Amino acid sequence: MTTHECRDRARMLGSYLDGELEAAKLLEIDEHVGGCETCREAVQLLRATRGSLKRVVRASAPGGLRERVASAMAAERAREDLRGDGDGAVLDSKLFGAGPRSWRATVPVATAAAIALVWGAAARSTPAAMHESLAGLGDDLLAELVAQHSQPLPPEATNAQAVRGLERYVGFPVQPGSFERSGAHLVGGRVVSLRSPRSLMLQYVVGTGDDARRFSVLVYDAQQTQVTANLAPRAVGTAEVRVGREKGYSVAATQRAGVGYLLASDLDPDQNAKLAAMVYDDR
Amino acid sequence: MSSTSEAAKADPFADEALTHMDALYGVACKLTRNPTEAEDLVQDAFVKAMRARGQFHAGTNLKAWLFRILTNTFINKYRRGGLERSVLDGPDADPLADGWVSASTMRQLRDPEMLALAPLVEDEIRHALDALPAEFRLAVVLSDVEEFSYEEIARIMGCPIGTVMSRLHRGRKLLQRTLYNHAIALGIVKAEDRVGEPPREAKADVRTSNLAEYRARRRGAL
Repeated sequence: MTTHECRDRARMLGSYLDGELEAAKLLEIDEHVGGCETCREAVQLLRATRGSLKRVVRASAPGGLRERVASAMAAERAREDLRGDGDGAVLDSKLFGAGPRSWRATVPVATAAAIALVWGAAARSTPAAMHESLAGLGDDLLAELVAQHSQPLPPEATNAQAVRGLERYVGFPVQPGSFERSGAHLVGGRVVSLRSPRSLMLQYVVGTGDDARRFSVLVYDAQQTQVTANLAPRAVGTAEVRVGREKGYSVAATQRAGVGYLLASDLDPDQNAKLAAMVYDDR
Repeated sequence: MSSTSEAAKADPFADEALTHMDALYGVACKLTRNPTEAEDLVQDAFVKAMRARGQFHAGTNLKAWLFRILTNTFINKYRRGGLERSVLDGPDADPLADGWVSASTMRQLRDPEMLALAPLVEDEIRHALDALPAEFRLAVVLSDVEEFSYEEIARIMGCPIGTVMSRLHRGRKLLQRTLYNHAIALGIVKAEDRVGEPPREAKADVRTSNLAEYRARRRGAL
């Protein structure tokens, strides 16, 4: 029979097996498992399940796939050489820039860019010289965000439910609540039909009285649109955010699950980046 | 396509990336549940990795980075709204009470000799895994099969570590419950009364109903 204590501990048995417990907890669970048959069996069952999962999931890639992929990768490199990209070092403008690509028409090429990959915490700024030539697809979105942030238009919807109702005009999920966890208050939202596909502008206020600060969030379809400009990658916890300044405002860009978020505010860049990272917080 | 196996051989990044192909393919099969789509997904992921390789920091974990690209590619291509969310995804929608069966029943579910489930139970694990919501399935596979750390899984899936832990816990519990129900159906173990849980029909056990559906289909096909 399982005791109440075991139930409390049972949640930790997985972490115990995964070697993810801190030392003190590890010793505690170790000792408990030594003396409790039910928990010992639970660990054994987890271990057995892991063994079976390995057997079931592990697969050899079918013959031919390796060659196909190797040749597709080499073709990609050859294309870069042709464009003079060097060894892939200069990415932002080339990767995100538009341009015909012959590679497999069935695959939306833009999604490559949707992976705003900055692995590790090191932030690499884009070389200044590149900014001049950036005419990325989404840069007008950034300009629109800053314009609407500095001179906001009245919102079309003024509560979270009504704002979510605007989803049907933009075609992607909108979760205005993500940013309210920072203590911010949703002022409202409106559809931005600057370009196709449409995007959504959300307005918030954080703080009260003299400390009240506005921030605006442009939510857009990151699969159709890439915002390339002038933003330096930064890690906030496990979130990846790109930050910069535009016309005196702090701006930050991030994306999650194919939806892009662009923030503009009067806050300092760190606070602004933290707000953007809230889209990664658990719902 | 230009000619290229020579060029591919001369590229250390491509060479190293390709050593992870089997692992990526295995997980891609579990994500897509379709071998043909898995091949396409793997190819897309590798080409994207090639294109983005300037953003990879040498010395960090290439395999984890490739899995991140694979996951993002999957989401962008098949799941525009993100990984599917389970109906159980509320904080306490179904607590999946721990201590669900007795030690002796758990012992019967596994193989005493091998680090594996009892053969008849193992037969069902493929279906049980496929029936998990994608976010649980991926967390379980990344941890149990690929043995990534929680931190690496958090980066791959783009979520906080706490979310990884809860997805793993729930995923594993759902898996075990499906396997347990399977073992009851096969007569390997006897159903136990579970103390402190609501009656079985009141429980939102979606996986079990999927399993039942699956069996019904299979019976119908025979």
